[in-house]
Formats: sequence, structure tokens, C-alpha cells
Amino acid sequence: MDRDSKLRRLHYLGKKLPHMTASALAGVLEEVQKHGAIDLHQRKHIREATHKELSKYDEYGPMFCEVALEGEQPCTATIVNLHALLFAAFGQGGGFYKLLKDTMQKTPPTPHSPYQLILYSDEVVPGNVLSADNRRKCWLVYASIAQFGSEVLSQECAWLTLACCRSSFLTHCFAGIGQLMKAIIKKKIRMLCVIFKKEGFY
Amino acid sequence: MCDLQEGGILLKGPDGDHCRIWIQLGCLVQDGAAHRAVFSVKGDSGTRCCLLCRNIISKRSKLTNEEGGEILLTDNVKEADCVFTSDNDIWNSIQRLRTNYGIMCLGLWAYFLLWCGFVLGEGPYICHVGVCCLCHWPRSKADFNLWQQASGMNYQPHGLLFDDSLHTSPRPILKPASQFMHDWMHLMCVGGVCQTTIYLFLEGAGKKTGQNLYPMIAGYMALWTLPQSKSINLQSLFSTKRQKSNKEAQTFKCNASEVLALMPILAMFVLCHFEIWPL
Repeated sequence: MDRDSKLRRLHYLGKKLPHMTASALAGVLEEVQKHGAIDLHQRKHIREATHKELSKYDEYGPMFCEVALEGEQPCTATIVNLHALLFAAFGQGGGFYKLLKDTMQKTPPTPHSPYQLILYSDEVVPGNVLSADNRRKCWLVYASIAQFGSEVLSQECAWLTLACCRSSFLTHCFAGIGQLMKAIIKKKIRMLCVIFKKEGFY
Repeated sequence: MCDLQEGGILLKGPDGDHCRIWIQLGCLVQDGAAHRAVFSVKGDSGTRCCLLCRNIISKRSKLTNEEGGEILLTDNVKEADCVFTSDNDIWNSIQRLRTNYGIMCLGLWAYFLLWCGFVLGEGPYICHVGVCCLCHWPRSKADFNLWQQASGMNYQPHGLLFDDSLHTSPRPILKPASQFMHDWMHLMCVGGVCQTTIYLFLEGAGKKTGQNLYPMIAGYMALWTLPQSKSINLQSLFSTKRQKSNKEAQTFKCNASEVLALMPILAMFVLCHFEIWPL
């Protein structure tokens, strides 16, 4: 195949596939050339692979959990399991691991002087700022630890996302975000349970 | 047991190292709209505009302090005059709201049940003026709305503050007054203190010196090169068009990113130039 034909094929490949950036397409092709194509390549396989990866960190329950909310009709919202997220972020190593390790050396937590959890929530409209679509408006809840210090807390990466719920969904729930925050605080901060895993008692 | 507050959480590092951390709820950081939604309060547009002050009411409410009591309007600027709300004040307020909802909105049956509770000694169902619940009857929903306005709270039985399990012994974790924190960025930089201060400075300094500071500062801003991540044209904030627009709005119009980038340079301008121009 000559160069012109290859370029034409590459162009039509980009057009044919669902949108992805040129860098993403280049990355995928390079990876396939280096390691060969994977047998499992359907959408459901990608989801399955993600769940499989997340399940490695389920010592404190699944990474995502459902909370029941009361509204005009009973409904559920998906929130992140703070315990599992902390466990995964620490277990993977990297930036969060170093940050928490440094903080623990400077100010070690004890049952009598625990770390102070900060919960932050706000409404955001995702998408193009020049053409905001308010139907996509969401309530987001983030968490971080006060002992990280103001310099670290001013960085976006120091905040863990706990929940993302469409505002239109929460308007159908009694007390809206108030009820969701209550569920997060009750379920994730005051969660009282005994978990037996393969490695013993946590 | 994986209660973050008492049992802590055991974390395992990539090298197999273990450590346990204990975490308790420290604060809830939110802007005004989020506080209103989460804490079921009326917010800054209500007559009781601040959850944390017991004696401050909105100036817009047109309620004057004719009797010379301790009620202050929102134009009060002295912290020493404020009477701050405690966590218990808020819980008591929620309890009164709940009781009054039963009495004023649920009608005679609720009144009867409450009265039974009083007679059976399960009460005492004391209202805010120290009188039993009998004094509230008969009342209507309009009265309850007035009560909500006066207390600065909305009755939302599914809301965060209406869950008794979060603040009762043995392990209370929610302390609404102690854990209440304003998002300072909104307060200072989103149509806030910074914008008003810059506008007042430009107007005041302009009058004193007899010069229009806008073109002068625009020229000064052009001398600076911001980091690549901050692609903001600070010079354009001091254009003639903006000056007119600011005058009409009685504030310096700019968004939070702009004011955060602008403030240090403006501070440098003031320090460098206003020593030789005493105001």
C-alpha cells in the first residue's frame, strides 16, 4: 500500500469512528501496532475491564454505591465510597500517597485528634462556557482533608469527587441536595459495619 | 469497624506498608446558594439573612429597631455587636420549627396529640417564649410561613439538619454552626469585596488626584506579562467602555479569575505610585 492510500485510510478511519482526538487515535494505533489487537474490544468489555480494575480496591465495599432518596417517587443516587476511594488512592502510590504520607509525618492523626474532612459542594454547568446548557447542570460534592494545608488545598487535584448528580434529578427529591448530603454524611462518614475480607478484619 | 471518626480506616501503601487514619467532619464549604440548599435556610435574600448571627436582620426587610433592642441591621460592621449562633441554638430552632409545623400545618389532630403528650408528661413542648403549645392554637399555614421567615429556616423534613441521628449522642458528627464555612472566593471575588474595593479606590483616588486613573493603570498593566496559564487581558479591564460600565454598576466589573490575577499587580501599582501622591 502506497503512502497516499495509507493516509486516505487513516483519514476515513478517523471519520468512521466516534469522535476522538487525533492524539487519542494516534495513541490507540501505536499501542495496537506495538502489542497487537486485544480480542475483547466491545463497549461492554471496556466497562467490564473498568469494573474489574475497581474491584481490586473493594476492601471497604464497592467503589460506587447507591443511596436511596425520597422524592415524588423513590429513587437512588450513585455516590463514591469514600473509604474505598481513600484506600485505592493510597494503595496505587503516586501523588496522593506521597501527600498523605507527608501529612501523616508532619501531623500524625490519632483518635483524639483526627483529620478534619472538608466537604465542598457546588452546582456546575459542564460543557462549553460560551453556550451553557442548563439542562446539564449538576450538583458536585468534593472532599479533602484540612491538614493538607492551604497551598495544597488550592490545587484541584487535592479534592476527591464524591458525587455528581444532575440538578434536574435532585429537584424531584425532597430537600434536593440537602437530602443527598445527609445520605453522604450518614453513609460514608458514619458508616458502622464490620467487613471481613480475605486478608482478615479491617 | 470502618467508622472514619472512631475506628479510622486502615490504608495499605504500594509497598505493603500499613497506616491508619482517623477522620472527622471538619467543615462544609459552600457558596450562599449551596448553603441555602443544604442547610434549609432562607439565605442572604431572607429577613434572617445569616444563619450564624442571632441578632441581625436584613436591611431590605424595612424592619426598624424602634424599641432600641438588640436587633441589628445588615449595615452593622462591628463584630463585637453580633450575637453568634451556637450549634445548640440551631438544633433548638429546628425542633421549634418541627413542633410548629405540627401545630400550625397539620391541624387539630396534631394539636390534640401534642396536648396528649403534654398531659402524659412526654412533653413539655415548650415554645420559644416559654409557653406550652396550647398558646399556638389555632394557627394557619400563613402563620407557619411567617415563623419560617422569622427563624430564617425552611421546613424540610428530609433535609440535612432535620436528621436527629447526626447530632445526638453518643457520636454527634454534624455541628452546623461550627462547621459552617463560606466559600471565601465567592465572597471576595465574585461581585464581592475585591470588586467593590477596587471601584471605590479608583473613584476616590481619581477625585483626590484629579486624574483619570483608568488609562494610567491600563498602561501599567500592559507592562506585565502573565504566566501562560493565565491568558487574561488585564489591560482591557481599564478601557473607557469598562469605566462607563463600572460607573453604572457602581462596582468594578470583572470575574474571579481576572480579579485574582489583577490584585497583586494593582497592589504594586498603588505601592509604587501613591507614596508620592498622598491622598
